[in-house]
Parts: sequence; structure tokens; C-alpha cells
Amino acid sequence: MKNNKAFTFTLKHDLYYGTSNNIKRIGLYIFIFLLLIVSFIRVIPAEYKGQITLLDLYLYIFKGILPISANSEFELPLRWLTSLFTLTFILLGYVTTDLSGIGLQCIVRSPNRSIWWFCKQLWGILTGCMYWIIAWLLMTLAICLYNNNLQLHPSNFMMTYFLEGAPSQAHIMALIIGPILTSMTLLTLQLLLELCFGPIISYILIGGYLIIALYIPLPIFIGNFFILQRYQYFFENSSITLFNCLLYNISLSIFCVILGTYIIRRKNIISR
Amino acid sequence: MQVELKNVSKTIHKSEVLKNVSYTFESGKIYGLIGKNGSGKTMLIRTICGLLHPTQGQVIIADKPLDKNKSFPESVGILIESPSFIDAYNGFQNLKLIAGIKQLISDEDIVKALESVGLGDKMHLKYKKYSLGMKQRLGIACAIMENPKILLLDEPTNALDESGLNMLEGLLQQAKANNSIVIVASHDKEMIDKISDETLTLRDGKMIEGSMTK
Repeated sequence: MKNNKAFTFTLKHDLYYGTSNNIKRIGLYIFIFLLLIVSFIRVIPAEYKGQITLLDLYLYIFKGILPISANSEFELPLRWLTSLFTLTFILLGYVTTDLSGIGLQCIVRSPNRSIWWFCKQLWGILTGCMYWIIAWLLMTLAICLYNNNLQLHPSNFMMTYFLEGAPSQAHIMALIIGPILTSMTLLTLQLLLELCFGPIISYILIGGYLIIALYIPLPIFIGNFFILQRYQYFFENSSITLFNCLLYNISLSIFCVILGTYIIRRKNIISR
Repeated sequence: MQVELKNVSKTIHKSEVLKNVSYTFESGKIYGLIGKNGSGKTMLIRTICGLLHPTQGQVIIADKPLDKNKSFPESVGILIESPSFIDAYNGFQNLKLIAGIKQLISDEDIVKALESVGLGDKMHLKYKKYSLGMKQRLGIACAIMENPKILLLDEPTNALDESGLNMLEGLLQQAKANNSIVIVASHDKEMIDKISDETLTLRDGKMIEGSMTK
């Protein structure tokens, strides 16, 4: 009963305070995302304007790159990196700030330290949901204003310049679900890394982990499930499959919760 | 109720911040911890309230040891270093947020706590507009508002004026009368000698002496 009260209250505190405290960062994310949308609109030749779809915009922003090989030309996926770094930037520093601020008063009143950690992880997952709700709202609004073509299949323009082959409906579902799941897992991982190493190192480590996924198409580097241009792997004979997306993301999230619980129960809580 | 420290030692980053500290604190007394900066006062306070786990030894509160399963004392109020609250909330809202965790007290009790530290007419002012002294008073209000059985105050006199010091003394005496264990850490020997029933000196992590001041 005491645990339930403390959990509910701490979660409400995180949802309200964690979000309102980061309102400027969320604003920055919206601004950057709008810039990404505008960058897409600028590259569309006039003759293709009518056929551009909502999925085109989504694919353009989160396209990433094809697997890098010895023969391929390296292209830095700036849009992909920008969108992911803004995602992880929203949460940056909250764990540290909370533990040395009002969170200290909250945690000593909790029955145990684990409650504080569970609430942080849950808040991280919900922040991932919020990121995607905002992304899809902005993309939908942009396409409504542009040409009102809200279809979820790629246009000829996208097929000609950005894709290799047409994704099926099953591919498209995987392309939408994969990044949502992956972003939630990334945030739980970032919270764990910040608990261990602090905000700056956690941000660098998360960035490194994402960049490695550009080079190594293995499911342990979950950034692969966020690289939309690799969709052809999702159902072909490779390890970047929808099943592995679910398996690795859920496993990694659970691992972060469990390891974080172990760490917070033993951690020396000292102001930084 | 008792707070018992049994051979408590704590090492952080290869530095021994507490060395074999043993003592028993009893209800209805004010204990003053004095020592220079870096003597281990704050570390001892943090260890008693469960924010630090001893490397060796035990902290036993009401016959139950603090450990990884029981992280914190049942009833504790703390003021550690500079208090920090939410800038966008006012004083009342900040305390209401914290009181919501255990839901032991009403809004009236929060108002009484704020009035007792002299913030009655400032409770609706946003925290970011508080002066240093007001922030310290809010920290004290937060520590006392739930009438905790253990009250731990680390350098509570920081930024307090003379009226603030008198207020603090009154509140500590009240907590003592309520049978709480009051532990106040400070480098201000004069203040500690004035308010404490017993003074404990820390030097380089070791407890050196105890004396009855009253």
C-alpha cells in the first residue's frame, strides 16, 4: 500500500515536473524537427509535389544509410543523427538533477530506492512516446498544409531517389513500430548510463552506440531498427528482423530496469 | 527509539570519510555534531538517513538495521547542504509535492510549518524569487513539517539572520519536546553548545569526544 502510494506520487511528479522542466528542450526538438521537415520540402522537384506522401516525409527524416561496405561511399546521415540526438537530449541530466535536488527529499520518503528508479524508467518510456506523438503530429500537419496526401506508401519520387525497391505493407508497419520501440529502449538505456556515469558521458556513450549501428548491422546495436533505409532486412534472411527488434528492445529495456535497480540500491547518493 | 551506529566506516573513492564510528542517539535529545570542513559531518548525516551505505558496520534504527532492503528510516526529516526545490513552484506547492509521498499531513499542517519558519506571508511566492535565507527556511520547514521521529539538519544556520537563528532554536526545542532524535551538524561551535544536550566532535572521520552541555 505504501509502495503503491509512493510509486503513483513519484510517477506523477516525474511526468509533470520532468516534462515541464524540459519544456525548453521539447521546444528545441520541435524547432529542429520543423527544420528537418522544411529541408525535405525544399528538395522536392515541382513536378512531384502532388504525389509526395506522409510516408515519404517519415522515410526522408529517419532514412539513415544503407549498410556500409568497402565499396560504398560513406554518407553521414545527418538527419538521422540529428533526430536521435534530440531524442536523447530531452532526458539529459534529469536523473542527476533530481537526485541532487527535490528528488532527494522524495527518495528518503519512499519505502525504498527502487520506486524512484522504476518511475524514472517509466517516465523515460513515456517520453519516447511523447517524442513520436509530436513527430507524427508535426509530419501530418506539414503534409496537410503541403498537399494533403496522408497516405502511408512511398511515392515515385521516393522510390526513384531514395529507396531500393518498394516496401510492402508489412515492411511499412515494421518501419513504424521499430523506431518507436527502439527510442523507448534508448531512453531507458540512457537513464541507466546517466545513473552510472553522469549526463555528459552517458550522452557520449549513447551517441557512440548509435553510430556503431551505422557500421554494424547486428540486432544488438538497436540503432539498426531505427534506420529505415534498411527495411529490406526486416523480413529477409538476416538478423535485423522484426522479431529481433521486439526481442532485443524488450530484453534491453528489462535489463536496464533490473541493472538500474541493483545499482540504485547500492549507490552512494552524494550531491554532484 | 534509538539510532545506533555500530562501528560505521565509509570509504569513498579510496578515501576513508568515516572511521569506525559508534554511538547511540536517543529520543528526546538534541545532539550537536561539530567539526571542520571535511571532518565527516555531512557523510555521517547521509549515512544515518540512508543515502549512503556504510562500507563496514551498521546503522540500526529502532532495532532494525538499514540495508539494501530497508533503505531509509520510517520517519525522517532532513536538511542536507543547500536545499533545492522546484523554481516554478511556490513554497507551499513545493512542500505539498514532497508531503504527497507519504500523505501524513494536511495542507493546514504545511501552512503551519511555513508559518513556524517565518514564511507564512511568502508561501505563495515562487521559489526562484526566494532569497538565500528564505530558501534555507523552506528547507527547514520541509524537514520538520511531518514531525519526524528523526530530524537531521546539516548546517541549518547557513544564511539565517538573528531572527532565523532564534526560530531554529525554538523549532529544535519543540522537536525535542516531541521526543524526536535531533542531530544538528555545524562548524559553528557556539551555536551547537547553546542548543545541544550533547556535543560530538568529528575529526578526519572519527568521533573524538562527547560532552553533556546541559
